[in-house]
Amino acid sequence: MSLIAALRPTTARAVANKSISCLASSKRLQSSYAAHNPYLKDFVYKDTVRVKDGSLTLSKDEHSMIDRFIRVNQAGETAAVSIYQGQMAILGNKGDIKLTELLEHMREQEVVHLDIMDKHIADFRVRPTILQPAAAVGGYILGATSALLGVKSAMTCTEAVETRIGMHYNDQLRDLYKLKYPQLDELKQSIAKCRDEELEHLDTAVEHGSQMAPLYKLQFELIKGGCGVAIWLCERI
Amino acid sequence: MTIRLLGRAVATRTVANQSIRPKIRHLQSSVPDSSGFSGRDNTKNNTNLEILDLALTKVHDLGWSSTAVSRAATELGYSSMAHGVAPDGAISLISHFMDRALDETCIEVDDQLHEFPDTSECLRFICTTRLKQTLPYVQRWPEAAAILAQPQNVPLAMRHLTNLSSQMWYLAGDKSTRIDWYARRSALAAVYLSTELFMCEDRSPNHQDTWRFLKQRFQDMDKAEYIGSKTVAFGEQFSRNLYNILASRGYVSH
Repeated sequence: MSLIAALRPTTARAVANKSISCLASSKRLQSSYAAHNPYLKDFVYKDTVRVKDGSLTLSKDEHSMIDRFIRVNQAGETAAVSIYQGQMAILGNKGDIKLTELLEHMREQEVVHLDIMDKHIADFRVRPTILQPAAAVGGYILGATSALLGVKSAMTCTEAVETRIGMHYNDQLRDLYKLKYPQLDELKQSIAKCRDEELEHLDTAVEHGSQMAPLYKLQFELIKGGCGVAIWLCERI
Repeated sequence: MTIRLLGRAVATRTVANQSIRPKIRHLQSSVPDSSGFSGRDNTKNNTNLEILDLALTKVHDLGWSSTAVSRAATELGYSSMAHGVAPDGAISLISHFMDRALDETCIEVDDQLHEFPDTSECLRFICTTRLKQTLPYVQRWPEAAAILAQPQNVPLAMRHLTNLSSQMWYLAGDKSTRIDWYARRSALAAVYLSTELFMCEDRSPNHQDTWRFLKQRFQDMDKAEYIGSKTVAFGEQFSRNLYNILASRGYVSH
């Protein structure tokens, strides 16, 4: 790859030559090396993806893995923000200041996560999922529904979502640590930070009585399963 | 008829040079790319690319077909059965052309991107560069477009178009992270496709009508984006005002 980059001419731009061969009009063949060097016939950009403003070149497979991860993370954080918004809309009027402040604090942390994931989407040339608006709406509905069932049920919903997300981030980190590029360190650190804060939310939810909710096991498993389905969908669509 | 002529040529050669075995070059084995993942398509095969590139120069006479690939293979010294490097014939050659054209566009455009302050201007320049890659084949391009429109080739054509659109926006500096990522790419794909088809029929000197058409389409695209953002802003303001009115009347809790 570096051989190709070194041999690529950097001088004058090509004249648009209307000859039969399109290769004659390209910069590539202006160099005298081109006629004799078989390597220059390779594609320069086809099988790789340049990310992070060109500072890192990934193969198609590596990029598709990172693409999937960041796409589903952005959708997940959007859903998390709207889950807390939904819960606040229902539980915010009960007059319990501490609960409102707690929900607001958790929502702000999720907003920070969402901004991190948006930045990664721009950096790594990730295709955002087309279900992102659907994730926002679905999250709001989930948060509002669980809050309607009571404070403890809202905490159960939080606990289930955060458990699933914690598992999910751990799986991602496990796969990301197989890639050794130093430019990926920031990505790994930010995912680790998000995972730590999600697990913190999980502990907070348990402290506030999530396991005392009525039909706790059913709610927990249902919401965790739903999250799994959503993750599967967002990775592909 | 071409195959019969080729056969006769081979026959006379073997009769004349019975002591010398005809030199048949063998296709090289593919060299696996060294990367962290063992992907399916991580193979560099210089020989295949050589044959396909030479076949592209024959498209003007022989059209987009496996005949062009066979002729190219024979000229380079390989067996004429080597048209198996393009197993589906025409569509492989067209696909190779599109990959090559996009690659050349990226190389060409690489050092000039910073000269454009405006994203739209930058995008139009990149689009123009890509269209100029098709210019040498413009007489035969309607044939290729027809082949790409066949039902069995539509998924491949769609993949190429979306890849092209995405790559062009990326080079122009697009940083969208929401649903407008899709809106922008589909708009650009439509603009590019319509301009390419226009270019096939264009007989004006220096293709100036094509460039004017492209400029007009870009203006339409910018206007559509402007109108879209204004509509969304209006909708937001309207719903905000409505909520405030209802809250002040006590119909919703604030």
